[in-house]
Amino acid sequence: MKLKYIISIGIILIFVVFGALSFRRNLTPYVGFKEAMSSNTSVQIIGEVIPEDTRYDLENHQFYFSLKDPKGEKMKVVFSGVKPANFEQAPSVVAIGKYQDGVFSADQILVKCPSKYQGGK
Amino acid sequence: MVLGDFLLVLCLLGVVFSALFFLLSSNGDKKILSWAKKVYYLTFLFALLATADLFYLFLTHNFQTSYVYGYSSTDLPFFYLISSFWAGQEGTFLLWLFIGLLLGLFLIRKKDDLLQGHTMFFYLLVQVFLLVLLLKKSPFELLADIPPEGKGLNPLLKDPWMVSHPPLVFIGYAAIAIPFAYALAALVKNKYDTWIKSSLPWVGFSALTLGAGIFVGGFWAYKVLGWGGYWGWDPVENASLIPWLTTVALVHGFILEKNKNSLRKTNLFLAIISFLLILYGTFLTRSGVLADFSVHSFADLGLNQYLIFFLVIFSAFSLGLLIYRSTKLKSAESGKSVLSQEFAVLLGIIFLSLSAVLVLIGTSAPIITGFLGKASNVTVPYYIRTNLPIAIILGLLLSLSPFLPWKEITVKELTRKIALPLGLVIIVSIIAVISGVRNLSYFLFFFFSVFVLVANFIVFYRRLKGKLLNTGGYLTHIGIGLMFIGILTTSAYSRSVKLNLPKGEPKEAFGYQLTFRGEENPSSKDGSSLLVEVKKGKDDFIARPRLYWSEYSQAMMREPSIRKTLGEDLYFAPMEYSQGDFSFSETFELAKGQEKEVEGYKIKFLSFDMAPHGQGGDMRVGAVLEVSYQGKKGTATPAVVFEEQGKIKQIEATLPDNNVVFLERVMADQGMVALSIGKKGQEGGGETLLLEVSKKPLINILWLGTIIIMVGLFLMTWRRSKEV
Repeated sequence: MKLKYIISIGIILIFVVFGALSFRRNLTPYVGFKEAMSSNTSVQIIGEVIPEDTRYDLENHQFYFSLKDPKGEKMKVVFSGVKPANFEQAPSVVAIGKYQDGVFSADQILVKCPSKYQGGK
Repeated sequence: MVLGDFLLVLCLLGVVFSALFFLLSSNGDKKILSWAKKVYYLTFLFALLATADLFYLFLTHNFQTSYVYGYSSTDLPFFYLISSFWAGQEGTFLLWLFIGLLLGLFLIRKKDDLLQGHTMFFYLLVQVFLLVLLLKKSPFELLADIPPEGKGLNPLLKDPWMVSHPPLVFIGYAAIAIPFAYALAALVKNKYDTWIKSSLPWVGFSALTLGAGIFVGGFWAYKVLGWGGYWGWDPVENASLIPWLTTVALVHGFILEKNKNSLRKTNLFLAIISFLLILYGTFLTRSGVLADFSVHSFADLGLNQYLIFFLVIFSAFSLGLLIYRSTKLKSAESGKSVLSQEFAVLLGIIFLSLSAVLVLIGTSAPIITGFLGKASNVTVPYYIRTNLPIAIILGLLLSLSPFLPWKEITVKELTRKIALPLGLVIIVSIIAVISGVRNLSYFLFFFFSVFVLVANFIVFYRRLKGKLLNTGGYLTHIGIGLMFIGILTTSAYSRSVKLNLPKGEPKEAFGYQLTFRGEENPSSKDGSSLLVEVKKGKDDFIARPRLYWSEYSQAMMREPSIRKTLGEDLYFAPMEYSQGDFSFSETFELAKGQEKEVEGYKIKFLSFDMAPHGQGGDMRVGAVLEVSYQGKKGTATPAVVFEEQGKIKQIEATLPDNNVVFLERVMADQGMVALSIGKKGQEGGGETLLLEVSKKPLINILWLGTIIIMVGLFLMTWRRSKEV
């Protein structure tokens, strides 16, 4: 009886600690552009797309664009994945990644479009 | 009040009254019970009529109904008109309610069930929750005026798999309320010997239907969304995965309690929490709390306070009751041995629950961290890192458990039993290492997945001589083994390359020669397929991925093309398609009825096209042109769209010979337009397709696994329903 309890509780404890550590490590907070530049870990930034700065580098398969925050500050973003479907129409875009050598290198882009699964009124 | 709303009000009255009658009948009053049942049948009839009414509104294109306007149009085929029913939130709540009341018919048919009164009372409370949401946000709401045409169905949902996905998920959601209601009834009555037997088939049924819903959703994502995967750990997906994991844990808990009389409290808790997790998931995905963190979450309909209210009420009551009773709840002690089926199942329940908790915490991260400070999300690696070890351990448990007796076994005996399958697994694993499996956790995951497969297959084969009906568990576990193998190969060992394909220029990928041949039918309204010729020796086919503009979603849609073979899939996902730069002709002006010849085209301006089009406050002006080219006549309608935000967008129209015409200016007062012709550059027009080609090895094993899991769960549910 005892052995079983010890095993069960031990497993749960190990996973609680392990889960908590993974949780912390993979947490990406929303930050402002300034904070993103000084952060060493993965973060999320949000901003308005500046249409003129959007371009697709066909040679290197990289997608470049710039975001503007409410204060008017700019952040260059590079993304190596597929340009999200409704990128041009999105009022604002969320980029998740790290700031490196003058650009924000995004691992993931979320396009804010509340009408995606909701037809609107 | 419209008919539909009236029916919903009647339904609510019926639900409330039959709930009260059922409650009153719980001391054994046969007369009140028969009244309760009569009211229930009537209530079901109202729900049936309300559902039929909404279908009728869709089929007759009643666009004054806001919901019908928002999700359908006259050009939808019958099949998709049906599925428009559950394209939005209001309709899905109605579907959920209808299925809930339908399943209830089976519950009230049961005779001599001591718990029936209370069970039906709690079960009907769940339907009250749905009805309140439905009356607050009704699918029958009318618009002030009647639009001539509906907005249409989201193109992503125009897929046979998407027709069946929502109903499956909602059958699962509706069924999970049954063990919940039984658990509460057992707690109130303080009688715990029958609720398990009565609700076990329902738990199996929800595991089956919700599981099928999840799998179909994954298959749809793979086939339609074009990002190459089937599971993205998105809140919408997680919201149905979490209760599924606890429901599967509950199946195992029930089996333990039936055989050993242990785990009484655990099972009550799991039955309650599975339902609460459905409510919580509904809140997460429908309240808009995750709007900043998910691409998929539904928009906020203003139902927040109702969702929170019901979540709090249901949680407080059910968990409070469980805690109140728990001090006196006794169940048999579980056996002593570590090497026993009993302990393996117990560990299985622990790990399934752990997985549910970890996914739950990840999905709720924005809310949890929002309380502590900055709202943050977790990234996908969190889910993989935490669930991979759990999957490996579950693999170990599933490999050994077929050989473990309930009671106890010695290490020596067990070793003798597993020697043969283990030998087989080692051989397969050596082959895997040779073919490139290097990562330790991937290796372990593969090793145990194969072990699960072999071990359960051996026992399944032996049992087959008895009754097929009793093999559901082994069959399900065989499916799990196959699915795990497929998940590993398609995620860790999938390879992909991005290719830049100028029109007509062949490039190589994975030994295939790919040549982009241009658009199949450039002037098609729904967007045309992009033709890619693929060659490898004798194998010669055309892949047809699609990139198209969706008026409904106001977005570019990309649809992959998949080449299936037995061993692997070749997955062609279009990423970018550039039609090359235009060289523009000089702008020229035309008055109504006037004709000019420009760049070889004879163009005559016929009329303005002001048909209402596009979204909300946008205004679109088109110019209907008659175009003659090399003796052939046709029309083209270039347009400008004045968007609400003050932006102006030009929509070009295609001309014969692959050129386009732009509407540059509109001078409505003079009845004149200014146009220009855009010509493509030379040699293929500079058309370039950026294509991602991926290989998905053994993906068919994954799909096969999911099918076998469903068959296994079906057998299990069937068997248990015969025992009731």
